[in-house]
This record gives sequence, C-alpha cells and structure tokens, in this order.
Amino acid sequence: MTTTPKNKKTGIIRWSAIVPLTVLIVITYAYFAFFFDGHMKSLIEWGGYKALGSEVNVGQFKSSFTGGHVEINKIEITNAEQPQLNSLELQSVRFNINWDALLRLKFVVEEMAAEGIQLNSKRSRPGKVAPPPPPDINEGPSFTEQLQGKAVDKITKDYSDNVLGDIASFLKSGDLNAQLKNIEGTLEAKKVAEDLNKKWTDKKQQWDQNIKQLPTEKDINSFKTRFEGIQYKNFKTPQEVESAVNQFNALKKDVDDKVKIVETTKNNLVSDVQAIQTDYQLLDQKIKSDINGLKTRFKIPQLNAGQFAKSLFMSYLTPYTIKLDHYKKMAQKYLPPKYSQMLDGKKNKTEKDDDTIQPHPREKGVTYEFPVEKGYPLFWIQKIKISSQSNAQTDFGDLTGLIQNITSNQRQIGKQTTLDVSGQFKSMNISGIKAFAAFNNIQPTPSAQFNVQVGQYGLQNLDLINSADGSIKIPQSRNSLLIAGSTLGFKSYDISLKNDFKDVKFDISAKEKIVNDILQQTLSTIPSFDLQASIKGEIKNLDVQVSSSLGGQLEKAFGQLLQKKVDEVNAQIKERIDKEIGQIKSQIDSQTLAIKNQYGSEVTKVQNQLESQKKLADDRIQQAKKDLENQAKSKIQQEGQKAVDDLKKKLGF
Amino acid sequence: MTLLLKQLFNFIRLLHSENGTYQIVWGLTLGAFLGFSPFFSLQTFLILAILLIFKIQFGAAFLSSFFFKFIAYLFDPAADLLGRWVLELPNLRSVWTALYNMPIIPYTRFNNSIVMGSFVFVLLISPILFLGFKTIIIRYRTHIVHRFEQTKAWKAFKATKFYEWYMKYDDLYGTK
Repeated sequence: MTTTPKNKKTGIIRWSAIVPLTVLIVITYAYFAFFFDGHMKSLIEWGGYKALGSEVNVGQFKSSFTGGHVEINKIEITNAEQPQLNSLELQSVRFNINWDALLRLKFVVEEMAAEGIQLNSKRSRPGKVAPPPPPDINEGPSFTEQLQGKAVDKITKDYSDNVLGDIASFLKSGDLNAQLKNIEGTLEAKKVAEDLNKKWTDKKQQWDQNIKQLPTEKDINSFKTRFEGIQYKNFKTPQEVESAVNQFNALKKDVDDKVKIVETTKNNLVSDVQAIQTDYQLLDQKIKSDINGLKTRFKIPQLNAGQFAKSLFMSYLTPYTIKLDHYKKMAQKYLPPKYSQMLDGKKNKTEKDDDTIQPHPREKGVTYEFPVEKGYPLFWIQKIKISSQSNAQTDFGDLTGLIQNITSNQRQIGKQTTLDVSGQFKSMNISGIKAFAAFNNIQPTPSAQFNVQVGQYGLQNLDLINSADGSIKIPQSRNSLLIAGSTLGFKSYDISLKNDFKDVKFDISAKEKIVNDILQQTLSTIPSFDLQASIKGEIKNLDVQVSSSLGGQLEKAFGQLLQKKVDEVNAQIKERIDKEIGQIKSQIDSQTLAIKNQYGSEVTKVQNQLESQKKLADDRIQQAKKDLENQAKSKIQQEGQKAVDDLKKKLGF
Repeated sequence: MTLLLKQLFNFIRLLHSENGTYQIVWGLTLGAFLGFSPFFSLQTFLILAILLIFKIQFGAAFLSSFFFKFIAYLFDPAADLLGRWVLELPNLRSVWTALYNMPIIPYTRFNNSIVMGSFVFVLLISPILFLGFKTIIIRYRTHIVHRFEQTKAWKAFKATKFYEWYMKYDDLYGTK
C-alpha cells in the first residue's frame, strides 16, 4: 500500500481515451468514404447470385451517408437458360433513406426510382449459372409434376409426345382379329377364371357330401313315429306324466342335435355364398384390367377435345409451370418461416413447450404504448416509381408503373403492397403490357392476387408436335395473353391462363397420308384459336385443366373416323374376352348357382321340418302338463267333498 | 477480463492513495445508474461514454454496477409500481407521448415501468449515494487505512525487499 503523494494536477477529460476514439471515428469515416460502396457492390452481386442462382452484376454502387442517398447503376441479372443474355437489366435504381426512421433503427425509403428496364439484353460475357439443387425428397409435388400428372391421364401421358403417330398407327391397324389371336396367354382374367372354376367345382363336390350328412326323410319320419307313440293325455298317475315328459325331452334332444348339424351346414353355405360374390368381383376387375391393357396395346388415341389440347400444348405450358416452381422455391427459401410453411402446404407449427430448467425470469414490468404520431415499420419502401423510356442509343422498354408499400408490417401502416405497371417493349414486339398485383397481409389470413395482360406479342417457331410420325408447327403468330391468379393464405390457389393465337399459319407434315390430309384440311382453315388453362385448389392437390378451341376442331376432324375405328376395336376386344372367358365363367355360374340355390333350399327345408317337429314336442309337453293339472284339481275336489260328507255324518246332520 | 482486473486493481490502489476521491465517487455513483439500467439501452451507452471521456474510475463504476445489478433485481417489484405511477401521471402524459415519438429516445425504453421506476429511484438516491460514497471513502482512508498501517505486520511487510521492489515497479509502470 502506498501513501506516496502525487500532487500533479490533472484535468477531468480522459485525453488518453479521446485520441483512440477520434482515430476510430476517422477510420470509420474513411471506410465509408472509400470502401463501403465497393463492398456493398460485391455484397449485392454475391447475395444476388446466391438467391437467384445466376450471376448478378452491379455496375456501380454509390451512397452518401450525409444525404442518405443510394444509387445503383447497371444491374444485370443473368438469364439462367441463356447465360449470354440478361433476364433483366436495370439501368439505374435510386433512393433516399429516411434519416428520421434510421434513427429509430428502421429502414424506410419514401421513393425509389427504377429506370432503363431491358429484357433479354445481351451481356458482355456469359454469366455464371449455379447448378440446380438436388431434388428434395420431402418436397411435395411441384406445379409441373401436377400438370403432367393430373392434366394428362396415364394413356395420354405415355403417348402425348406422339399423338400423330398414335392416330396414324391406329387408323391403319388392319386385321384386329389377327392381332388379338395371340392374346390368350396374356389374359390374367382367364387364369383367374380357370382357378375359380376349379375351386368351385371342388366346392360343389364337397357340398354334395355335406348335403348327404343332413337328416333325411327317414330320420324325420322316425322322429314322427316316436312322437306319435308318446302318451300326452288321459294320464292316470303322475308317474305316467313324468315318463311321457321324459320321452318328449329325449326326443327333443335328438331333434336338437340334428338341428345343430343343419345350422352349421347353413352357416358354411352363407360364407361360401359370400366368397362367391368376392370371387366374382375379382374376376370382373381382372376382365376390366385386361380390356384396358388391350386398349393400351392398340394405342387408342383419346378423342375428346381436352385430351387433344393437353397433348398439343403440354410442351408449351411446361416452361410456365417450371418458372412458377422456381419462384415458389425461391419464396420458400427467403420468406419468413410463417409464410414458407404455408407454401409447403403445412400448418403453422405450434411452439413446443420448453421443458428445460429455466432461471427465474427477471420481472418484465409493463411496457406502455403511447399514441404513435410518427412511427415506421422495420422495413418500408413506400413507392418504387418505374419509368423507363427508349432513347436513340438504347431500346429500353417503355414502362411506367408504381410499386407501393413493400413493408415488413402492413398492419402498422394499414396498407397493402401493390404493383401496377404498364408499357411495351418495342424491340421485342411486345405491347399492351398491364400488370397488377396486390399482397394483403392486413387480415389474419394473407391473400395475394395478380393479373398480367399482354395485349400483343409475337411467337416464332412454336412446336406443338414434333415426332418421327409428323409435326405441327406454328412458324409465326400474333398472340395475346392474360394470366390471373389469387391465393388465400398461400394454401389454396386459383390461377388461370388465357392465350389467344391470331394470324396463325400451320406448318404440317405427317408420314401417313390420311393424317396429313386431315390435318391440312382442318388446320388450313383455322386462323386463330385459344388456349385456356387453370390450376385450382390446395397446393398438394391441384385441379389442373387445359382446353383449347384447336382441340375441339381437331376432335371434329378426326372424330368420326377415329370413333368408328374405336368402336370396332372395343367390340372386337369384348368379343375376344367373352370368347376366352365366357365359357369358364358360365361353368363357374352353374357351379355356384347350385351351391347358392339348390343346396340352400335343401338345407332350409330340412331345418323347417326339424323346427316344426320340435315345436310339436313342446306343445305336447305343455298339453300333458295341463292334463295332469286338471286331473289333480278334480281329484282334490272329490277328496274334499268326501271329507265334508264324512264330517256331516259324524256330527249327525 | 485483464482490462477489468487492471481497472479493479487501479481502483484499490486509488482507494488507498490520497488522491482521486471524486473519480471514485463518480465512478461508484454512475455504476449505480448502470446497475439500475437495462444493459441494451441508450442510457447504458451514454454512461459508458461519460466514463470513457471523463476521468472517472472505471473499476469503481464496474464494481458498483455489479453490486447494484443485484439490488435492482430485488428492487424490480417496487420499481414496477413506481414506474407505473410515473408513467400514468396525467400531467406527464404529453411529455411521454412526445418522447415516445422522438427519434433515438425510445431506445432508452423509458416506457417500461421497471426501467422508468429504476431510473427515477436511482436518480432520486444519486445525491445521497454521491455524498455517502464520499464520506465512506474519506473515513476509510483516515480511519481504517491509517489504523492498518500502524499494525506491526504491515510495518514488517513494508520493511521487506519485495515491498521495495514492488514500489519501484509501481513508480515506473503503475497507472491510474
């Protein structure tokens, strides 16, 4: 311990701390002045690549802390399918950060301006594209899988790529009998029918034996003889009555034994009748499955307009659903868990009770909420103004629009997020673009709706069908598109697409002359047609519908011709099946009919006879008892009268 | 940790010197504010900034804040009642509303009953604490330290070579 006096006068400011603090502030300032923008640029490029799976480039990131101003120039997002192009290019994005909100640790942008929008612009070098992630086995079916799995049934799915080939080969299929000749060994139903026939023939023999075990006419007559021989009235002594009752009971027991045999037989019969019905159902199923198998083998093309439409437009619609799946996956990855669970079709997980030992929580007190006169949500971009105009140097899209209220808390501001954009891309021949979208999270269940309309755009070299048997192509067409959709709670969806194809000229080629002629005749008269698709329902079980007026017109053209052929095939198959299985089936029928009806009636007859015999025995026993009772009563009366008479005599009356 | 220990040793050394009474007293008083304030709050950072800028004894402040954290914990129910009373005063409602809508101020969490109650309490007792700490330190130095220095054991220890070397080292490298 020291008592050394130190009388050196020092001030109250800790200068030794001020200097390092100042240095720290200067370094911080220098960082933000010289390095921050570069790091932010790299961060956006890195984050963008991670989030979108394709290279994102930022030309320049400029920020000013004092002015709260940010400017990002030349944002390029690589097109994952064509890396030499950008899927989107933005010339400039500018915004000012609200300092008042920032002091409250909130990120608020009052107005953001996005200018110079280009689609599919050329890149200076091909962009990097991340490899697709491995499929998640726990993931539910995608929109694409549901479109391919539900819009098209099994047969159409197998042959959807080759509908022309199917039609052609079906139409030219010659002698059906010859093709059906060798089906014998392949019919499962025949094998089942043979097995059943053997089973029920054996059963019938078994039943012949069973029926012989039943009481015969002779047995029943012997019961009758025994029955008639038992006294049942005019008893003289109680011993006679007792003997008669014992005889009746013995007879009843013998009858009961026979009844039991009959009942057991009857129960067996009922269960066999049920087995017959089950076997019949099995046989019918096998016959149906054999008929379907034969139809598949003959590649019977689906003749309705819907199936035509699905076969024709499957490859055209698939890229749309693939995009939808891509955005769904992205949303699942980046949305807060509450919403991504909804996209999974899962219910919100309820928080599990924490059963670990917790320290005693410090008193939390009451946090008072005073009226908010100037409050902000954590994140809020109030407006994004989209204004993009073509100029002499660059052909930007001419777009104007407004995106409002992108926020982390819609309930606080009481406004929903909306998007309203319209415009055109002259260089790409796209005009009449109108897009509206709204996301409402103010209500307890969030909802979203969108409506995208493209008044006119050109499509080139659209392959509807392209196979070895022929092709249907549309080299050029003028189209319009309307896609509308809505979702409630990200659980149920209602999305519809209407695509009008105008000024269409088909390029047709088919190997088979008959098909080629029909297609030429039909399609040359069709200048326009539509395509309508809808996806409705819960995400894991969507109802997918595809229809097109083109399908209807093709159905009409091929309908009569194909229907005639289909009827012929159906009749032939039916005849062949009947021939192969009908005989065995009629044998089974006769065997089972005997079991059901003949043996059934025999068992019932014997049972009835035995039951009536039993009832008669019961009646006789009752009668015998009553007779004895009457006799006893009259005997007592006589004895009583005699005693009275004797008493009178004794008393001298 | 080393820095904290160094500050505590400095505090003990300063306590036993004849200087720096106010440095210690302010440190102990501001430590009480730290103890009664929530850790992540604006007032905590303000007090830390004051401690950094002015020559206030860090060790005393940390020791005091550690001690008053426990007191504050026990005082919570009472602070809750006091805070509720203050925050519900009709005359002050407009003041609270204005503060609530100001930037930065809400980071003090003044609208919480315990934070407000603790703050009001420590503010009220801070003059008493200041004077109390001052008195205690002076009395400690004049009575207890003096009496201890008169003991034979201390005198014997002071006569050792080890003590001589320690004093030399302290003269050369010791800091406040």
